[in-house]
Amino acid sequence: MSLPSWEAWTCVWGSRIGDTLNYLYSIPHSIATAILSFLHINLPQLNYLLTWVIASIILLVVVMVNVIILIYVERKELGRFMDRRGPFVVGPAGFFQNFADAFKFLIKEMILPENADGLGFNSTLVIVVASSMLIMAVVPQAPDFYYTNTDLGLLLAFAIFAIEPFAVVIAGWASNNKYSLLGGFRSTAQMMSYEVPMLITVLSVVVLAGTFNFTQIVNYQASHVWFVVPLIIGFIVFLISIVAEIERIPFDTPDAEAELVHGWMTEYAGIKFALFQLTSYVRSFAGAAIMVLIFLGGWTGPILPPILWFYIKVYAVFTLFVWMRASLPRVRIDQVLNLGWRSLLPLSLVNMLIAAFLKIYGGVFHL
Amino acid sequence: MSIELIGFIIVAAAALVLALMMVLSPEIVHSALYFAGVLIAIAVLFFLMNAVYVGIIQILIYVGAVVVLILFGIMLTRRNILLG
Amino acid sequence: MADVLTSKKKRVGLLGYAFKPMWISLRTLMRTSFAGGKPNTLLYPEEKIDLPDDFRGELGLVMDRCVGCESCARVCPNKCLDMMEDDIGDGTTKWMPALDLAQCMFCGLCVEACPSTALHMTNRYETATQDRNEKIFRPHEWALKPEDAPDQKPFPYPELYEINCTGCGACDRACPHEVIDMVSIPGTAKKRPNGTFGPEKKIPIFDYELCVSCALCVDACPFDALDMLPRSTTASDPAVQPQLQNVKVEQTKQEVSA
Repeated sequence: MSLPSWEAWTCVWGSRIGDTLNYLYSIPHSIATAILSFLHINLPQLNYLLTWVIASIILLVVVMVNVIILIYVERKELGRFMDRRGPFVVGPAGFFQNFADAFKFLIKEMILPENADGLGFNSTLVIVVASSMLIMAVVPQAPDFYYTNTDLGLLLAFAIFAIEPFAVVIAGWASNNKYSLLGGFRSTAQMMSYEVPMLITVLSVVVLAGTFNFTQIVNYQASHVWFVVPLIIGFIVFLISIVAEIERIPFDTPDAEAELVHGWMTEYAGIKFALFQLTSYVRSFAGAAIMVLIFLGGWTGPILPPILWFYIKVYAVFTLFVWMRASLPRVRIDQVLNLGWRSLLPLSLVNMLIAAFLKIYGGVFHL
Repeated sequence: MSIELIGFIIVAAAALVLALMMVLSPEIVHSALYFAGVLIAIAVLFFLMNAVYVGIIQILIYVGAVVVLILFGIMLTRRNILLG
Repeated sequence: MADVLTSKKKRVGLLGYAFKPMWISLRTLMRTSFAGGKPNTLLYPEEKIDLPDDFRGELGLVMDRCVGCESCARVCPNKCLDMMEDDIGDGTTKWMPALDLAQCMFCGLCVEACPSTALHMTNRYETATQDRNEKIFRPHEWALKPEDAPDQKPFPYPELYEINCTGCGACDRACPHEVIDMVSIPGTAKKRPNGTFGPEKKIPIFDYELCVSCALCVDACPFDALDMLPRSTTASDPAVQPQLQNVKVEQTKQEVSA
């Protein structure tokens, strides 16, 4: 069995070698080089490994800080939408309220319910949290700030999105609670049925751009037109599907507080519950980021640096999510599935047709 | 011994151990969990062999759909039938 | 039941389900975020709402006025008042009610029963403590200064709902004092077919200076046109009075001209 040589790696990490323009590579690389030269070690493999670890930590910190800001933004905006104030006591304008809540979760007892299945209960937590954190690793945030930039990045992101459902149904089963089991079933059914229209919509974008690579899709939009203009149907389908996929109101039937007392998260206590909540916001962040990248022109924009444009657009899309959450009532589970299979699937196919038409006769529309 | 070979050995051993645990586990839901682990490990093996597309499709279809199908089958079956 | 089953379900549609609520919440966002708007929320520990004068808060006792009649302790439904001997501050002791506020349900019966206006419901409502026993007060512990509690209760006065009044004059006949005077409203007489005019509509007007709040007029009214309203004076009520003022003025003019 022959494995590819060191430099020939192009799959996940190899495209980074020698990529000095990427801050997420150059900064960790210089840190690792400095540490190793301080210790008088000259091992390229160790340098590589250390660079990898430091870059991962930096990415994790960036994502976590963004998620904390996201939660704060959601609480503030939700307050304004509902004619009340959000948090305003802890810290400047209530910014540190999330940290206070996190500390509250940390000091709670971690309970394993009696008759619960220990392996399923704990391992699914690891799977859900880890797979959700992994999504942002394949989503580039700027031409000079990305973790990986693979040729199949878009597909990889949705593959990682698809890991969670089986873990959720096992988590619901392992909790030994009928509400959790119902929530797990609902969550899995909803996620699986909304992946179909979502992936078909994504395929229409891929047909137009001719690539699965995030950077090339964004470059194509920068040189032609944002895909939200020709594929407006696809944009709407993708918006509804991604809201259902990240299980936010109005599609939060799996963890409906009123009916299922937080669904499959009922039995998780303390820091485990906090991690699940954090995970749901990481998924929201990743969903908004993917939406910005494939429909709203990514990081392109005048004057401001690309990373700033990326975050402005992501927060704008997240505000759209918050707006929907503040306005719309929760949909019943049968209505959710009806909407997914009967309305969104035909619409996404129509959108696919439009994309194919534009691909063939696109010269007329400068596409 | 290169670092890729070390990675391959680790992932392959994990896949083997998970497969054995899947077969030997008395609880069938644990078997499904280990089965998902085996499939993810095989996807990582595909990544290591530079076959990214196959790995992605492996995750998307097997972990995302087949394991869930198996789990739904298990959950919708009466428990005393499962236990024999 | 059949109606419910067969009646056509009202369909909201996408417009009503999605766009209307989103437009409403967007309007709320605009109102609360821009143009100097503020959310409706009251920042409770810093801001407090203005309470009405007759708000039923914590009870207070004016020790100087208490006569020790035990009416309050007898009328209290929760038995949270108990009589005991206590110092009123200058060394003399007196028979006065002690209060267990933890059992009080703020019904206000004791305040109504007190013959000497010694009991008063204050505006304090933040009564939470760590321990129930901290809410049991000896008489001097829940005492009020006399100037904080009004010694005159607001008496109820008769109020006219003009739309029910037929001008029958029953209230005038029932009144033991010369409070009520029936006056006719000029211009309300109906023209008869033979050219003559019928009687003008009459309404009672009240001289509140003489009223003793006996409510006999309310009992006498056959059409529920009168009601006793507990306020210090109804004579200055802007909603009712301007019309009557005009009537009075015109009546005096007529008397002068006659």
